[in-house]
Amino acid sequence: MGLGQALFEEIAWDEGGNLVNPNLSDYMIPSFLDVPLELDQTVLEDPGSIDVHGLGETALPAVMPAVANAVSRAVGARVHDLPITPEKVLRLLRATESVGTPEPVASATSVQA
Amino acid sequence: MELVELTVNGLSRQVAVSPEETLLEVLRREFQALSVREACGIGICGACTVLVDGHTVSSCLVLAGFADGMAVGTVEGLGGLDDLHPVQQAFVDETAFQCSYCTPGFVLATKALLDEQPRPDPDTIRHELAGNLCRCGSYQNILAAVQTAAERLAETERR
Repeated sequence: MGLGQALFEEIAWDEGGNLVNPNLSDYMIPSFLDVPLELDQTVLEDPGSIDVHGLGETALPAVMPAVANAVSRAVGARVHDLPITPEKVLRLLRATESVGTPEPVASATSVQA
Repeated sequence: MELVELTVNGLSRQVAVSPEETLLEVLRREFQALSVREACGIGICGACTVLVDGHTVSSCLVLAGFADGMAVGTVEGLGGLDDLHPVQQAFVDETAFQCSYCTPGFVLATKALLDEQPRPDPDTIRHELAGNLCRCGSYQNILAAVQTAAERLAETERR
């Protein structure tokens, strides 16, 4: 779920404040083909404990920054908004090359109605 | 209104349907097949999956008027609480669900897959089940459940 928010999901508004993608066809959530084949979980505080309970989705918010950190480490510049799409990374790379210093990337969500 | 004859999990009935109604709505209203759920309503998510002649069909995309004479299978026909189908049991054992909204669709899609390909490899499983979306992200456990179900079904075949 966190990977979906980090990489795919984008709520797009037009200039009139209308939601442009109010369906599962245009609001992309990960499918079976989009998730990694393996996911490892490491319980930090009490690794051997069998008393671990799921409690809501408290682990969720950590996923997006983790992915953003990984991308920024790999690319050398930081994407400042979600989702971290290939287009944003490409623009960031180009901006970094031509200017030399990382620049914040303008949001790709504004759509001309 | 129009009369159509529908067979759901072996039970045949004539039901009156309106021209704009979908098979999904009729299954829930007339046959109490509440495991068949609407999420997207446009055939993307697979929550409305039913089996027709052993193949998966998005029931939100079928107009009820076109379903005359169809034989439909839902999870209600797969097994009861005391008598789960091996696919259902595998999903339970592998905890292949969180909110379980997508689970009936996945169970039916799994059954359809395993009926056709009894020992699918992980890549095949992922491709064949890509039409079922899981918002909670239970995909890893679902993959394990499909493999477990395949193993158990193959064992039953051998005996």
